[in-house]
Amino acid sequence: MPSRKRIKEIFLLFVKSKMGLAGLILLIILASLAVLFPVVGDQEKINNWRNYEYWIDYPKKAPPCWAQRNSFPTQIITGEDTVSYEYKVFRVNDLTVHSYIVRFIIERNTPTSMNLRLNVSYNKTTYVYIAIVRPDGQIVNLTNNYESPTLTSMRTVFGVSSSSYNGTVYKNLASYINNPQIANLYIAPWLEANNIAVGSTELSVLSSKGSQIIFMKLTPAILTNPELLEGEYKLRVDIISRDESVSTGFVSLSLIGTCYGVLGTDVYGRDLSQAVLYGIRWALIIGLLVAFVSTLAGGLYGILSGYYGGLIDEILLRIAQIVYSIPVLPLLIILSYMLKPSIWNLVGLLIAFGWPGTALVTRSMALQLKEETYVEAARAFGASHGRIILKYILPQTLPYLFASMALGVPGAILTEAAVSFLGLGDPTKITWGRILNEAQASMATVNGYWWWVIPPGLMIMMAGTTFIFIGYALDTVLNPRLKR
Amino acid sequence: MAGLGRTLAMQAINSLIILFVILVIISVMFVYLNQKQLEAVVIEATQMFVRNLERNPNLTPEQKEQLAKAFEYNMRVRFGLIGSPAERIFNLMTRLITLDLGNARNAYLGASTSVKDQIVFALKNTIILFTTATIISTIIGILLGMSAARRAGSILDKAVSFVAILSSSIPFWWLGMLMLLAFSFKLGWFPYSAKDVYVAVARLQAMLQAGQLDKLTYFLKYLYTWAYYMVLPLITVVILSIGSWAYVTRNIVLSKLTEDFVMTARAKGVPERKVLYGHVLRAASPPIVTIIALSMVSSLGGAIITETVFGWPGMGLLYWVSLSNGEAMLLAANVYVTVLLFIIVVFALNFIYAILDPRVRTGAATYTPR
Amino acid sequence: MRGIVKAVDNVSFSLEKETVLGIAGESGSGKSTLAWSIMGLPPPPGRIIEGRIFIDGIDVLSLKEEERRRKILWQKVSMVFQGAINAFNPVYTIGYQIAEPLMLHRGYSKKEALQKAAELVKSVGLNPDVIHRYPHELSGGMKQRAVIAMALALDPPLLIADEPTTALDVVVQAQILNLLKKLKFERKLSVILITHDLSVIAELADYVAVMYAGRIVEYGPIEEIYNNPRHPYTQLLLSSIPRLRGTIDKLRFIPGEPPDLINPPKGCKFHPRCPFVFDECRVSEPDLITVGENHLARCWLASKR
Repeated sequence: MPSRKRIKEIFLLFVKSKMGLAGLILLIILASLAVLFPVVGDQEKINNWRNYEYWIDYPKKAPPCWAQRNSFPTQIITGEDTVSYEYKVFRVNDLTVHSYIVRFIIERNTPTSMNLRLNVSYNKTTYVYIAIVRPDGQIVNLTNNYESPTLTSMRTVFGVSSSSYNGTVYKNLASYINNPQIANLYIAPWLEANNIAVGSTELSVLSSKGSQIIFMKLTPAILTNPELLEGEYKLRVDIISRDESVSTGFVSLSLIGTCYGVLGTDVYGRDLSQAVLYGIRWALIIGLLVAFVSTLAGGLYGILSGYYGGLIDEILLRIAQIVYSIPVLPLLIILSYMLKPSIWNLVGLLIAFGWPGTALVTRSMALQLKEETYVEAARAFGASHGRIILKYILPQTLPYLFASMALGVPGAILTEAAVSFLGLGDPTKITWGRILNEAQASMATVNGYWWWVIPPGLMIMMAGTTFIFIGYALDTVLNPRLKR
Repeated sequence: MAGLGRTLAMQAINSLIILFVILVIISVMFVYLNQKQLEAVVIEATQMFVRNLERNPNLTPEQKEQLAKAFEYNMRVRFGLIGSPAERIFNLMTRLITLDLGNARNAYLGASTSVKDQIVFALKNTIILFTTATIISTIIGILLGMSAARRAGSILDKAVSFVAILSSSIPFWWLGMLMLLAFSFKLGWFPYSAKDVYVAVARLQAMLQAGQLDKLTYFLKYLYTWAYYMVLPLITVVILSIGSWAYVTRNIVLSKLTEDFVMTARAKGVPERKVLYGHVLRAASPPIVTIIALSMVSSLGGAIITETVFGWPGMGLLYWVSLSNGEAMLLAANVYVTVLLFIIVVFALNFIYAILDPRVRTGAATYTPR
Repeated sequence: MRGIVKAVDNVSFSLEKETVLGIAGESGSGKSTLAWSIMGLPPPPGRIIEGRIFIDGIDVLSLKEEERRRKILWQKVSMVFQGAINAFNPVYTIGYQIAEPLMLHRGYSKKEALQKAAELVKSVGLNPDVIHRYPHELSGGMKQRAVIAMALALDPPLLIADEPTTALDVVVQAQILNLLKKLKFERKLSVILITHDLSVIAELADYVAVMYAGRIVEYGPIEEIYNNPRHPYTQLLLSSIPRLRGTIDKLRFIPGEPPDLINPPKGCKFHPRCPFVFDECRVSEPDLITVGENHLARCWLASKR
């Protein structure tokens, strides 16, 4: 083993080279982000990654807020926000009405969704009335109102039993409104009452964009060239029950924004910045593990083969050559398809295909080194094979092995990313390849979700480049060749 | 040259061994992969057959049972489920070698369900794309690398090295996605799915038949259509490949430039251009060929994924399609043909290497002095 | 440390036909640089800053590069290289490489050129089918002969031999030297023989120039130099050659190291290692002064006597 002074020397030279320094800095950044993820990232989000319910209140397919000019940030008004809503109880005929009016501001853009949650408990038939009161005084009914012959039932809106229920009810109001029936029953009449003609084309526009139209200025061009009506809106929700002892509670109204966070969200509303950050861990683990084990195993294999020579060498060499010549990815894909898609299986496969490269090189090194006079001398004074290998041959190959290890990491990261991209990776582990796989499956390129596509790939690039810089600098420092 | 012949023979043997080993691996994998799937298919088909038999009043129960058994047996034969695993593996290998490939359930690419036809179709497309890409990127890459080597230490040189290093950590397929985002989504210049090239070409052919186009216009439009669908995947592959070609060439040429024979050639009054190409490049060509051969291994994998991103109807896409549809024979044949071609190409490259570098020819006797 | 190195400083000499000038000196004395510069090809990043070179009456440096390539290189002056091992391109045959200048400069067809190559190869004592062989198939001595054959391809009047025997064993060395002597006589060749090995120079040279730190420190006919060396450096060089006969009590050598040419010592460049150094030497550098018949030395001591 080289002396402490030599190691320090190497380190200094390494840091002096621009590549080495850059690589080292990048590595430190990546490693810290990986290790400190619980601090810099949100572990809860990662734990709930496959729990789609967790992400209901997040905007879906949303770009990052810094990239959007007119964005509507997510607002969540909860029952504790007693300032933002009013609660009244009154009676109409023989019905008990619990009326909530929730205030919110719309400016710059419309919310992509409005998620309403209430706690209700009743034992007799119960109805619901929902309306939106606009800043211009217009009231848009979203259900039958008190002047209609019948009221809208709880089942129609919330899908729960109208006669008896105890628990939380939830409705995504945007998807409720964006519906041909609702457009026909409520939105279209409202527009026509304001002298705006609604034909079949207009109706289909309402069926997909109704939840945005209700926030637009009432102009004749509201459907063709809508203009946002900014101001304070109120959502009125009345729970109307025959049960006098009906009890209700306002849980929350989530106005889902048009943008989210640093890197936006995917099609399920999941915060991509967390995924990308968490992916660092896996990239580093996989890359380093594969590179380390395959370089070490391959290196030893090659040394033994070269040192012992003869028949052993012939056989070992043939095996290494054959494994080396096998095209990795096609076989890897089939194997991943057949075996359990566990990340450790993948790591194992990558190692199994990765060792021959190093082995072939260390073998030629060993072939040369064993002819050196000091090896002869060692044999002459009776040193065992093991001792010769450990003391004389292995140390000479270490510089190559270190550089090779560093340079092997990007390959492993890229291959894992490729396999995950094809959907054959571990579905329980968040890796960059997997993120891109989901992006591709959601047609991210066709739909222009650039924030989903670009960052994971950039991270792959960055991780790869880090190790290439390090490996290259190591190579230059440890294997000085004739300078030009 | 006896040396050359012997070298070739040894390499041929090597290649055959590798091919054999891979054939064994593929067959083993497929036999096991298939077992469960095909068992299910056979059982289902047999059950349907039995149900149909039930409706036939003219047969006795014994006859029905016999027919059912015969049917099941035939199905098993057809799907290669007869015999011990070893026998089945051997069977598969024989079928692959003799190219007796049968039919797939669907025509995923092209018009015919025959496995052989689909593979030929896919192969054609892959060759078109990747050969063009390779030719363009090798020529540009080598020229660039040579320029960088001659001006070692200059800005051009540093830029080449830097770009090359960066591009080796960029996944092909991600770059493809970026290309699609930029050029298909944002700018709308190019299409998303390259598979449609055949639809477009068929339309052109129809127009030609109907007399709406003359031969020349048809030809130009034909080329244009191919170009239109091919440009994005082509550029993606070329951009990434140029970097590594240039870098490798630069390094190898640089090491040759410092050799003594270069100064010798200059001293002999050989014009600089001839020194560079006739002496340096020529001496650098053997290691460059080696690198090509080595990179074939990884570019094969990249091809699969790149094709799926762009929807290019080649071997990569076929691979993916047969994998997702559980078409075992198609998949096995695909892998086999790919590997076969790969081995042939590597063999050819080694052959070229032996021609280029006289030092590797085995059996060349050292000249004995007088 | 960076700076300008004067690899060759103020070197002048002239050479007649059928004469051999031996240039002797340690490694780093500027011999190889001198050799390449005479051909007009200073090894990069070197440049010829001043001076003139006349070969066969032609002012080499005044020609444009293209002209030099067409008229001078290999035709007026050619070179036999140090470490001939790599002088040949491993991927071409010996014959092709010998034939190359013939095809380039004289317009020979490939067939004709190869024929001439075969003749050349024969004249240096090799079997003519060597021309079909590749460099790696030849032994060191054979390659050296082939290099000589290649150097003679265009029958140049001047041959520069840079350490032609360094990598060879003594037996082969003797053969090569004999070959050179024969060629000198048959073709009326002028040779500049560059080597650190004084015994080789003794075999072949008519005149000797001793170089140190990029300068000629002594020049003269061979008998004068070997029998009456005037510069201390030359004396030390000669005395460090172990004699074959007689007792050897101690191996002589010259203490110290060649000077750093970026920051050369003031005064006489040899003074730090000179056993006879005195004040004058440390202050100013001596010029070449005549110390005998056709014999020059750059030394204050020599100029005194």
